[in-house]
Amino acid sequence: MSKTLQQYQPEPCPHSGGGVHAWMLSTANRAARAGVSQVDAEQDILRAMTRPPSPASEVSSAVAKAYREHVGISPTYQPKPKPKPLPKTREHFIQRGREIGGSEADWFHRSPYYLPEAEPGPEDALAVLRTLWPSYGQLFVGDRYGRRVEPVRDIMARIEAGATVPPHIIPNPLSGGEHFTKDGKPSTRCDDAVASFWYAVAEMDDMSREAQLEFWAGFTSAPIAALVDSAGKSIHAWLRVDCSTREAWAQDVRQGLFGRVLIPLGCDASCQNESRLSRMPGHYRAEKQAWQKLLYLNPEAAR
Amino acid sequence: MNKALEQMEAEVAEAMNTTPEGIQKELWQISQTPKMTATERQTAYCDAVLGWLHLRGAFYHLTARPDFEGGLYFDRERRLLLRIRSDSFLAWLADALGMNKAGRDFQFIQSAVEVESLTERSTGIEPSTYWAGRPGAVYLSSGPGHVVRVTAEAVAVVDNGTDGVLFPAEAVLPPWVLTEPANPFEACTLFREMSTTAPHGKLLFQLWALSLPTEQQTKPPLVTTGTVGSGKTRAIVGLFELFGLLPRVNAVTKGGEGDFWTELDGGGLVCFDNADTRIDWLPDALAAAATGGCQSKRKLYSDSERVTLRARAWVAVTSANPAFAADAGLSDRLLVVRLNRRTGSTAEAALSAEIVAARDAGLSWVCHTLHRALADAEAVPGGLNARHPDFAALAVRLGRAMGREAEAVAALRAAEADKSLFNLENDTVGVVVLEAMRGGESFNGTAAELMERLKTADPTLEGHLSARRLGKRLSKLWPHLVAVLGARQEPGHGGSIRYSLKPPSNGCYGGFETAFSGKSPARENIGTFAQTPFETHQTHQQAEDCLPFEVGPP
Repeated sequence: MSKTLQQYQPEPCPHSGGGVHAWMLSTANRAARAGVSQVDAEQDILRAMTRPPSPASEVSSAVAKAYREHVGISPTYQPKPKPKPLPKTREHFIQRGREIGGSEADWFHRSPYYLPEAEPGPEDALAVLRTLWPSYGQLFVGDRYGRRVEPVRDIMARIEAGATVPPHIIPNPLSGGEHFTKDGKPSTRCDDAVASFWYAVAEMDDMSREAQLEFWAGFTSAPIAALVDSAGKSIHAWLRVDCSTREAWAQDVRQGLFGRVLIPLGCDASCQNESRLSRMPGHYRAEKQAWQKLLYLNPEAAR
Repeated sequence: MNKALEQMEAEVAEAMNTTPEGIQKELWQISQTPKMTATERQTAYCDAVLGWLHLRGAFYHLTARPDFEGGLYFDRERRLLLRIRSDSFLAWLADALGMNKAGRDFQFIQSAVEVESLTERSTGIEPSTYWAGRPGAVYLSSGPGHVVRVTAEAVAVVDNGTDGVLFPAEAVLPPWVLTEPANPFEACTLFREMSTTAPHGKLLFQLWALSLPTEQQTKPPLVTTGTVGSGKTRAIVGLFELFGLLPRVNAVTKGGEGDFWTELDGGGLVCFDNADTRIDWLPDALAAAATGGCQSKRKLYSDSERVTLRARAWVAVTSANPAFAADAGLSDRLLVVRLNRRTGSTAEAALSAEIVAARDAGLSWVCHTLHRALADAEAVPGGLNARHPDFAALAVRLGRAMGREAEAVAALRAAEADKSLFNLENDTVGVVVLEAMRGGESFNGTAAELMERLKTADPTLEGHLSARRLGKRLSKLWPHLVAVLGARQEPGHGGSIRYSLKPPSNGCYGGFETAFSGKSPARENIGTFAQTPFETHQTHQQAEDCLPFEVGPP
C-alpha cells in the first residue's frame, strides 16, 4: 500500500513565488527516504503544486535527482571506515621474520613438501596441482581472459605432455558451469562460480620482495599453503581458509581475515574475492624474463 | 577458519602491543567512550598505558635508592633500560602514545608510571655498568641493546637483560661486533711498544686489562709510574679507547675525596692522573677502594638521608713521584708497572686510530681469552697476591689462556715482590734504609745503631729523626722490610729490640731484573727527602715523640 503525500510531507506547497521549487526538492527527498515509488512521488508532487512546472521536466528532474542520491542509503548511513593501517606492527613481523630467517633459501628449506631443487619450471606447477587439490577438482588455470575450467588431472596431463604452463590460476575450485557476474554477464570463473572456499590469496606490492618473504616468515600463525613468486614485485601467499559457505567466506575472510588482519598489515584490499586470480608457479613470464616460482608448499598449512 | 583467524588476530594483537600502535588503538577507544569524566578518562589512560608497558617490558628501581629518581623501565622490545625521569624515556613514551608531553593527560600518565616503578610490581636491582661479572660468566655490553656473554661454554651475543644482567642505556660500551679475535696488545703500537722497566710489566698490564670486565669484588689498583714522557697516562687512555669508554682521567685535588668516590661509583674504569703531590685522603681512599670499600655520607640538602658510594670501578693511578705509596697498607694492595721514557714518537691520533680500528677484534680476543680462562678448572698456585688472591687466580688462568702461564705466574710473583720495594722507595725513611743496605753489608743491631748507619747514608737525617721514631717507622714498614731486606727482629737487652737486615738481592722483581734500576724514580725521591718533613699523613711526630717507650715491629 503506497503512502499518501501527507504521510511523508506534512508541509503544504507554498504559493507561487514563495519557494515552490525548494518544497518540491524537499518533498522528493522525503519520498525517496520514505520508500515511495518514483512514479508515485512525481504524481503526488504534480498534484500538490500551486503552479505549473517550469520547465515541464522540473518535477521529474527533481525527483530523479533525489532518488539518485538516496538509492540504497538510509538516513543514518555512515560509510564504513577503512581499517587503520598498522605499519609498525608490520615492521615488527618483518623484523621477527628477519631474525628467524625469511630468505628464499630459508623458505625453501622450511617447506614440508619437497620442492624440486632444479631450475623453476613445470615441476612447480605439477607440485601444487598434485598436493593442493583432488584430481577431480575443477580449476581455472589459464591466461587473464581464459574461460576454460577443467579437472586437475586434465591440467596435469597437459603439462606433463609438454604444454606451456599458463600464467594464472584461481586457487579455489569452481563448479565448472556458467554463473553470472555482478554485471550480469555469464562467466565460468566469477565469484558465484566458486564451489569450494579453500584458499585466500594475499599479496602486497608496497614492499620489497625480501621484506614480503620476511613478513610471512614473521607472521607465524598465517596458514600458508603455498608461497608463489609472481616474477614481478610481489609474493603471493595462498592462505588455507577452508570456509564452508559463501556466507562464511564473507564473514571470516572478507571481514575477519582481510578487514581486521591483512589489510591493516598492508595486504592488497582487492584480493578479498573468492575467485581472485593468482600466479601459476612454473610459468615463464616473458615480459619480466623471470619464472613464476614456487617458494614454499605445505598442504596442511600448519607451521 | 575461525580458529586460524583467532590465532592470527591474537598474533597481530600481540605484535601490536610490542609497537605503539597497540596502545594508541586502546587510547583512542577510551577517548571514544561516551559519558566519561576527565578524571575517569585519565585513570583509564593510565591503566591502559601501565598494562601496555608491563606487556612490553618491566619496571625496576634501584635497590640502594628506592625513590622516584631511581625508577627504571626496561623495554624488552628495544632492549633498553632507561630512567623513567630521563628525557629519552619521556620523549619515547610521549611519541609512542601520540601525546604532547606538556598535556594534562600525559602528566597523569607520567605520574602513574613513576609510582608503578616503586610498587611491588617493580623489582629492585643494581644495574650493571659497561660490563658485569656473575659466577661463571662475564658480560660485556655492546651498545644499549646487546651484550656479549662469555661463559666456559661459549662466547655469544645476547640481548640486554639476559640472565637478569641489565645495562642502563647511559652506561654501555659503544656497539662492537664479535669477530675474528686479534690480540690488541700485539696489534696496537701503543701497547706493543710499551716501555716497561721490568719485562714482566707488560704482561702484568695485560693481565690487569683482561681482568677489567670480570668485575671482581676486590680490584687491585694499577699504578703506572715513570719519568715524564714514559707514557703512563697514554697507556691507560689506550685501555679506555680499546673498550670504547670515554676517558675518565681525573686530576687529584686536595678536597677531591667526594669526587673520587663519585667516579668510582660510576663503574667501569677510572684513572687518577699525576698523583705526585702528597694528598692526605688518597692513600686511605685508594686502599678502601681496592678492597671493595665504600663511602657513606649524608645526602645533600637533607638531615638524615644517606648516600652510599661504592667502589665499582677499576682504578688506575699514574704518577712520577708516587708519594701515596708511602702508605704501607696501600702499597700492599697495588700492582705496579714501572715505565721508561719512550723513545721515538708516534702521533697521538695515529695511536688512537689504530686502537679504534682494532677494537672489534681486540674485544673479541678479550672475550675469547676470558672464555678459555673461565673454562679452565685446573688448580692455580697460591700465594701469588696476598691481598687479591681472586685476581691472582684469574690472572694465572688468563695467562694459561694466552699460552703464557709460566710468565704470568712469574709476573705475579715479581709484582708481589715489587710492591714492597715500591713502598720502601717512596717512604722517606724506607728509601734511606734501602739506600743504606745497598752498600752490601748486613745489619744487626738496635734502632739507635741503625740510625747511625742511616746517617752515614744520608747525613741530613742528623737532628731530624730519633731512634724512637725510627723504630716506630720500621714497625709500619715491617712487612715490606721483611719482603725486600729479609728483616728479622728479636728482643735485646733491657727491653730493646734488635733488628736484622740483609742487603736487597738482585731478584726484587721476582728474578726478572734488578729492582733498583737506573731509571727508577727512587733516586729522585731521595733528593726530595731533605725538603720533606719526617712524617707522612699517617705519622704524627709530636704524638710519637711523647711516647715513653720504643715501639718495635709487631
